[in-house]
Amino acid sequence: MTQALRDLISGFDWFVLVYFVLLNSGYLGLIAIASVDVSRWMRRLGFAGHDDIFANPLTPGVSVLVPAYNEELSIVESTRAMLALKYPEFEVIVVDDGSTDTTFERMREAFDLVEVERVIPDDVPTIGRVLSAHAPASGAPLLVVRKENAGRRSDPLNVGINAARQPLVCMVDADSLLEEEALLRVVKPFIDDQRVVGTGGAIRAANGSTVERGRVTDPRMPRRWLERVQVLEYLRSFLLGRTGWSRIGALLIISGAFGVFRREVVVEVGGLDLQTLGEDAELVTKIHRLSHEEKRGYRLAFVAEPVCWTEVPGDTGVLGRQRRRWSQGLAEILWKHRRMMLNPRYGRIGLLTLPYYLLFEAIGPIVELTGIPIVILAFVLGVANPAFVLLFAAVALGYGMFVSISALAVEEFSFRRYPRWRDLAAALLAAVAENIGYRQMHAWWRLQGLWRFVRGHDAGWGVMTRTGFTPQLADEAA
Amino acid sequence: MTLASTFGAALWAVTGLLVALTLLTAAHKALHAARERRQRRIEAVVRPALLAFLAEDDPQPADLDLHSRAADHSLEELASGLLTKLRGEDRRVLERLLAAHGVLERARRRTRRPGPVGRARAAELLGAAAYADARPELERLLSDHEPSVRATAARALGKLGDPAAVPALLAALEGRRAVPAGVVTMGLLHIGPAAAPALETGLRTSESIVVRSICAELLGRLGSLSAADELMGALRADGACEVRGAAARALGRLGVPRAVAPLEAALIEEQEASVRHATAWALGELGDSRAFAGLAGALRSGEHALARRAADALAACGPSGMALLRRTAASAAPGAPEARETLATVGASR
Repeated sequence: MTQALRDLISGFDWFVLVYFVLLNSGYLGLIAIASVDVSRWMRRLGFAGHDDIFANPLTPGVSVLVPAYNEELSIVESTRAMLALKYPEFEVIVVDDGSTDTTFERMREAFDLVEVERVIPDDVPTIGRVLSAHAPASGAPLLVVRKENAGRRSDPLNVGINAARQPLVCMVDADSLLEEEALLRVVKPFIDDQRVVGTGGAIRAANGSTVERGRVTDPRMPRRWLERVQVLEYLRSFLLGRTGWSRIGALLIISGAFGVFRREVVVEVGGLDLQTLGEDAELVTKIHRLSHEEKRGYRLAFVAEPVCWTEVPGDTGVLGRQRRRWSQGLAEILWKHRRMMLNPRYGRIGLLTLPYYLLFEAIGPIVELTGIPIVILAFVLGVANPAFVLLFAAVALGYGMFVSISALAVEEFSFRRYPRWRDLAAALLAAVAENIGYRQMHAWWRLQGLWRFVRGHDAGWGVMTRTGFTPQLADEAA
Repeated sequence: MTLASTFGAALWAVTGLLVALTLLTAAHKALHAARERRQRRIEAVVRPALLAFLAEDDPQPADLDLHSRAADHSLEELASGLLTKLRGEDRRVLERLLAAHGVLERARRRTRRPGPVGRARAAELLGAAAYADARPELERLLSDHEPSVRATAARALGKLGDPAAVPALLAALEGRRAVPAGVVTMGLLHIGPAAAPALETGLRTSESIVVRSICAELLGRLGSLSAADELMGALRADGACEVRGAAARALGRLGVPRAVAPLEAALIEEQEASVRHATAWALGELGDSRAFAGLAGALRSGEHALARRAADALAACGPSGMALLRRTAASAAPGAPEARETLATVGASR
């Protein structure tokens, strides 16, 4: 082997090592920032005034938008939970995007739906034609809109935005279960600060937990390792990571599974993009872009405790499809809004968040998947000595585990959602298991998503196999 | 130090940190569980004692002595928590109990604590106990440097029910350390109709748009009929659309028949869409057929949100409004879909 090739391999090894240090340090930094914020928030929870928000007739109303496509297993349960939310004024709008299963029939039977006249303006663009609107005979604040399938989640959401009649719109997945006070808590930033245009709430995995009447009554760690790892992933990246980004004023992703926006702002930016897969993050990026270009004072916030429980994929096939979509969606957003990248005009979003997502989320799988084999190859060829391999293992795997356990520590010191010792033990073991096998598999799916973006693949809604939230099934899973 | 030993040290450091963090997390869980068990044991003694005390015919605060500092503390916590849930005589007994144990005076002193959580908790307790003597402390906290303390003080001031606190609450809406409008409005609503005179003054004299619009909105919510002329003046002449819109909504809520003409005039002449929407809604609340012409124009405006409100208002105007809705619904004119929706809704509700 030539010296030049040895130098090249050695140089790449060091690059990957530094990359992993930066990646894990970034996560750890966000968790540290989030821990301060969460601790501050928890200490003030007792006098946050949620009861007053509920009692105040001037609290802004919310339209809860639920796009549904073949959700027969969970739609009735989750709609019931949404109708039982504690909030002074709200409506639930379920948009059935041409389901081919019994989603609508189940809704009609459960809520005694009758067809109603409802004018749905075209404030934001849509594709699928609206077929009919239905409401419960009881007068409950529920509207079910049936429309032709458009093959993408953004279309039923845009129909929901058009149909919404409250100043705030809350986008929720059909398989999501909101906690009773979730709306009160996620709307609070809008009341505290007039500049707030959007807020996101924490998403947690409900797999293995006991669900009764659309509420998670006994949170538990799932039995399957794949689901346990996702519990940890949601905690680290979606809860603490986003809390950290929010704290530094650079939040890019408000999950479509649970996000609230001012309707007028969503209409102003043209609603959700009908072509992008990551329509939720794209909406947030558009809001950032418009607000910076028009020099508006605005804020997007993440609230760590209004919990939305969701069912995470239980097998690698479904999980892989989900992660490929996420990766493709992120790449589409970064490409579409490339003008914002490293552009001081867009503040922290342009200078910090977008470059971070490009370097560590979009390109990350390439470095991860090439880096580990090349370090092993370098060791086999004698280019890297055992000490370097140990250091690499410490940084890539050990540091990764440390980051995950730090997230668990924050959970244990603040939220304490999982009271059992065995849940803590399972989570600790998942933090180890995540870095050996799962992380590499995840990187592979993300790489496939990136490749699909390069090829311009249209992924549509994506099929998500669900088991539903019936108590029996949840118990079985536990 | 060689390169190998440096790498080895890094590996040991990461392993050590992993183990330390794991042990720390487990230790915290164990300590927390032990604390909770202890708290439950104490509460198992204190709660029945407190409930038995409340059930007595003539409960005397001095009778409730639990002979332990931890139990006393638990009693204070339980009693403070119950304050917001009880009404009538039970609540007054609790307030007397807290006052007798010196809890409320201690809370007044705690409003000067260096930690914001302590100050906010003190304010929360003083408000829950409606401790009127604490108004100066709570008014001072309205300009606290910590936003959550200011908000808690505003809510607490409202719960005192003292109209003398209205000017301070209105003043808290403005400035570098402002209190969110949503919080102040709830405080003012807690004070109730007694706040109306100060709100009228605020609507008439304040230079702040936020203050004037909140005063207008709340005068309607509090049913202050004496403010109708002031509100009509604001609808006609206030320079801020937020205030004109709030005045329109307030007039709708008050249901004053003489407001129909100025509301209809605003519906026709107003340039700002949000004010037109508010006036259409208010005319619907009044349900007066004198506004028929203005509402008919709004129905045909081609603006969905305004047409929807106008259709609802016309339905409230009686037979003439319903007839117009039927004619419009049967046509292809602008406003026909909104008319159909309103007719269907009215039909369904009958």
